[in-house]
Amino acid sequence: MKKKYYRLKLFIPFVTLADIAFLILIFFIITSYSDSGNNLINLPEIKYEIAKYNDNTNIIKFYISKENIIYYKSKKYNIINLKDLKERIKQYRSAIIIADKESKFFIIYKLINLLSEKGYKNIFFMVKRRN
Amino acid sequence: MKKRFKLLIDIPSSTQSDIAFLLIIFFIITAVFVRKDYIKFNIIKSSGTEEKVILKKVIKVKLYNNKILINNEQIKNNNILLKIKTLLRNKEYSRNIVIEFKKDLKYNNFIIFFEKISQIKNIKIKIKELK
Repeated sequence: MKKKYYRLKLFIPFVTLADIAFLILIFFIITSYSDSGNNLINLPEIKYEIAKYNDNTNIIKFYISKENIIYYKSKKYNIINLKDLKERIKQYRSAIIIADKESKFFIIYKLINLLSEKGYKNIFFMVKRRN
Repeated sequence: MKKRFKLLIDIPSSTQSDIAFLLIIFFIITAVFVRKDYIKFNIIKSSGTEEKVILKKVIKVKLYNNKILINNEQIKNNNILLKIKTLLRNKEYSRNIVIEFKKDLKYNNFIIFFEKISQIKNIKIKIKELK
């Protein structure tokens, strides 16, 4: 008796290929714009000390421009209305400061004091690694 | 009798996937993948009694935009870490560092200094504004 051999038919669904391509395209369009805010901030460069932060839950982010303006949840704050910011900040444990290297440290110092009063324990300064 | 011509608009759907793939390649190439690195700063709330207990000397650092003074001695950027480490080896000094900064100090200059001292373990840092 002869054995029956089954041929494995490989089938690539070319019809859905365009759909997949468009999905990838949408993904890249969205991700390329989502980080555009960071590009406006020129981060300070460091050589050695690097801390990793993986937990993205319960973290607060502050953006500081070179004009010394603090951006928090799409609102602007400066040294004068910093008290308004204190009322808006939620009580978490950690905060990330994304500041321009040309900004004054004085404003960051004031922000650290404010966070300390709110009970924050860890502050992460976002930096760029120098190659 | 007049002949009426119908305008036929045809979108070439067969080339749509090719366009999509071209756009994907463009976005992949232009995408900027930001590596997120941080410097960690732990906040410890100081109690008034803590300072009275310390009988040892404290390392005082004065930060300016163009110079750094450690115990009123101007130190070059390359020698900062070495200077602090040698001072800490001296038993007269406690592991407390007081950083005083000028109001116009740039954030970048603070980070450059902070990166260096964060390599030293078990130290407490107090930040003050220089008057």
